Amino acid sequence: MEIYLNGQSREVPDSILAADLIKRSCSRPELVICELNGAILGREHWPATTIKPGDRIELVSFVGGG
Amino acid sequence: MDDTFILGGKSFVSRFLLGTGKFKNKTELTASILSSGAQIVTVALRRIDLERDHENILEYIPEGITLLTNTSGARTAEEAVRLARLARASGHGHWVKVEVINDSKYLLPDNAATVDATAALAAEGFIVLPYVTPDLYTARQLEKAGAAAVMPLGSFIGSGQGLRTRDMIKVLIDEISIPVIVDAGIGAPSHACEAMEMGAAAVLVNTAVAIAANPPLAAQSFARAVEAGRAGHLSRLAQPQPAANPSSPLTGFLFE
Repeated sequence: MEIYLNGQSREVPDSILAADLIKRSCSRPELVICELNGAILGREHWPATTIKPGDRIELVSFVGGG
Repeated sequence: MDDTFILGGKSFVSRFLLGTGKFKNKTELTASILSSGAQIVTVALRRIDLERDHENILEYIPEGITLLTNTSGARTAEEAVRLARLARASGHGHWVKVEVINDSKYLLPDNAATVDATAALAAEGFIVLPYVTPDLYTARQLEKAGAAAVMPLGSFIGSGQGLRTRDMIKVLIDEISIPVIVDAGIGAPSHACEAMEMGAAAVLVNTAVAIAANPPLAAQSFARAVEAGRAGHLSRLAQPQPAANPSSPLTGFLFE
């Protein structure tokens, strides 16, 4: 199914769990904050949240800044 | 004399805040935090790079440092609020530097949007440090909105021009009750010292340290300048005089 990950269209397996999507998108999921369709998805919900077609996911983390 | 810096309900020894952007080498960031004794550092939030691993800035920030996440990238109050909430969701604290900028040439903050974001975030329990162009009315609104401090710019971000806005910063220091933390454009320790002599509560420096040839030494020099300026302010120096005032006695001269 097609989803939007960090602003880019991506093909991912149907019914993938958020936890699995995040695990395959970065090497250190513990450092990542997730937003699903504009709302923050706390990491406690990752294993139980199923991604749907057209979902918009943002994965962010801390970087240097002033 | 107890000159503890109270900010956001916490006490700090250092009045020198360090930004973590633009360091060529992240280990120099760690060394700069340690050499300066900075207890509060700013960080930003960005999308992760999905193609490759990159280092996480948090690995270079020692334990116990207060993280102040900026809302850089936000062009509106709504975007700033969204970024602040994401930062809080990380579990690394709820201190936010509200930065709402819609100008890529001067990077001037949108004062009105900053007030709106500050009010919204303070109501949600964030410790809010808003970054603004110094303006009395904006500062009063920020105080009313629940900001923990006001952060007026000295000059354009990264320009190193010093306190171009000094007269307006002084107005804020004199008229506003919450701490005034000068942030942006500080290019030399003397600028940081001057801000503290004027009565600023603290100073934030990023570029000047990060791009110095020796960042840890630069960070230390800024921290010392902040201490010197603060002591100068507390010692209540005399005002400048228009003419001379002799330093040695006017009697008992050898030559009459």
